[in-house]
Amino acid sequence: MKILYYEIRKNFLRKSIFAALAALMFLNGLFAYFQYRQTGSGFSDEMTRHIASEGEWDYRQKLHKEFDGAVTEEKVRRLTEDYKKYYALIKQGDYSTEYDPDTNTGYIYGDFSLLRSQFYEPVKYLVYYQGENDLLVHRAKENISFFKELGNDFEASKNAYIVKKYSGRNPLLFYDTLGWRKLFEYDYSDVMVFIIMFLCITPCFYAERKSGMEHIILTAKRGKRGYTYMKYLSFYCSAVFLVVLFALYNYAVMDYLYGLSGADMKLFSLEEFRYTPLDLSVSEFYILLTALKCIALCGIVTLFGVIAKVFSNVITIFLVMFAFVTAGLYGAGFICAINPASRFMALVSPFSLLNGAQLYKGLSGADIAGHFVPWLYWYLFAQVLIQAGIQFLLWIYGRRCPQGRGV
Amino acid sequence: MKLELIDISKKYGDFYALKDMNVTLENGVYGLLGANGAGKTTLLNILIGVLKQSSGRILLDGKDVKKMDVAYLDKIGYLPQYPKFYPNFQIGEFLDYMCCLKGIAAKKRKERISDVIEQVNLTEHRKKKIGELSGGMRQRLGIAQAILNDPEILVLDEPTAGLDPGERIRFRNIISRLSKNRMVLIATHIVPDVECIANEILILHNGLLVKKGNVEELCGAVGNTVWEVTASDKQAEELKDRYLLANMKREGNKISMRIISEEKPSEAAEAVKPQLEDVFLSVFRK
Repeated sequence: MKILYYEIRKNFLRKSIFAALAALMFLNGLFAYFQYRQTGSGFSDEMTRHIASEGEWDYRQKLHKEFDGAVTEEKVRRLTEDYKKYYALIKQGDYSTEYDPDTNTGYIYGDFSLLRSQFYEPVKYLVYYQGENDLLVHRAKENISFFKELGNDFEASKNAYIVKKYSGRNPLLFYDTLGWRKLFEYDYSDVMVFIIMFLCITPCFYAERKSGMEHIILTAKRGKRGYTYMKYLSFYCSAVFLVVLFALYNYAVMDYLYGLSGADMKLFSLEEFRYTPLDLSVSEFYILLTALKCIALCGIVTLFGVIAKVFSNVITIFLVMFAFVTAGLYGAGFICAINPASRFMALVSPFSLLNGAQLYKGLSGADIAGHFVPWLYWYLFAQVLIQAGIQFLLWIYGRRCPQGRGV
Repeated sequence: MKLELIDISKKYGDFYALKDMNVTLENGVYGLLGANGAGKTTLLNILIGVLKQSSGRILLDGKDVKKMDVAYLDKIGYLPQYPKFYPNFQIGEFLDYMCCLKGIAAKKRKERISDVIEQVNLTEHRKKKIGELSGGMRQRLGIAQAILNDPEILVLDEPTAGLDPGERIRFRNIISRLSKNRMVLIATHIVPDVECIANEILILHNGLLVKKGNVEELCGAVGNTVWEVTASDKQAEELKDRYLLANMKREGNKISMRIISEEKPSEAAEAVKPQLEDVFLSVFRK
């Protein structure tokens, strides 16, 4: 274990890396803040403190205090009454923007709009969700027998999966979802992690070769056996650490900017995830996304490591890594594609798992001998297979080359 | 302990970096001399197991080192050419890392590190970062890491390159101290560095082992081929063109020359006792 510590010490625990990390974390916070400043408008469900007037914000906070938490009949009744009251006024054609001291936001349409977009519609979605979902499950049950009769095993399997995963859903909690949505979407930090990993990995083999350490290590008992593996292990540890660090940091930043309330709220409480096969809370889903990012980063740093080891010139290493990142991101862009060739590109790209949230927005999968297999499993399987393949090649090369050090 | 190199060759395409090397090494200091590109580093890399020979075998006390695998590495200490190590590591920290790599038990590490640091006179610099060390101190640290596992074979590649005279002397003394009960192989092209400490010299030329023996034997083999002559400028020019010149020194209006030649270069020339440098030169003239 101490060798692993020293590998991390050599490549990551350096002043220059800490300085880069601090600068990139600051930059990450800045990006999040700029994104926050550009988010929403008073007439959408994306209202922020920055965009709202004092009256709007106070009214919003007051309503959240009143309606946040479990969706009860009493709350639904009150909300509907308020909505109907405002709706009746609006229907009369009162679109006046003159200041009205009897209103919360300053004018009647402001009150109506805020109540409708941020409370009435989201709560309506939650209230109707159970019924609509039960209907979906009911139809899926019908479909199972229908497709079985037709001999379509795949569709029967898919519908069985729907019945299994979607039955009994009832989103009972209402909270503001804006912060969670922004947190799931935010991906600038992935770039920051790439940059740090790039800074750490690019010189690690090259510098050791130059400093004469490579031969010293290879003539040491444990160095010969574990040189490359310990290096890769240190890459994985550092990648996981960085992903978790940025995940926590993003959580803190988003909580500060938008407020992340309702960590127990179900993922399908967010309208864009209404068809997700996951029965997780938003906080659990964030942990899952972070785990997927860790897997993705481990795949990416393995390939970074291979590139750093194979090429002996830093500029070549940089160019090849840049090409690899570009190609990988391009491939990952097809994560939800239907075209098999595009889908294949996404499958082999380790960057795809960074977009894990996309995979969970709906239900999609592929046919394996009449069985429905969700795409996420395919992506995980592909990455595990690629990683295992690379590790196997390293092992073979390590055994064949006299140095026993692998690539 | 006996290390036998049997028919060792290393070929890159049609080019032999090392050809049919046959030598047996025992305890003591060996100087591996050769010009740049003579095959010294290739030989060392094969010896330490980071380069595979094209043909031949290496036996340690009769056992094939290939079969010994890491057990062979346990017996080796290696210092490469111009080592820089890790500039951001402290000396103690670096040696602790090397202890881990060499599989030295955690309980013994502290004691072993203190011991080797003392042997190379770096005790008071233990907390210093490697980046802050002078070239000589860094080489001494290199020796320290090489002897951590108390190796039976110590392999040093150009250990004194770039050191000032004081550090070179200090370094030589350390090597002499360490050579007790172990084999020390020093590859260099700086003849004086091995002349006074090596028990035996191996001279490599174009991948071939061309001479082997102790300093006296090698110098004796050169025989009466080393001459000293004091000549005028004009004569010096002529002699320089005709003979292999080992040294040249101006003394007033005359030039004192050291010449290597089978025949007496001039009437005034006097035969002198050959030195290792003369042997080295005579080999490379051929």
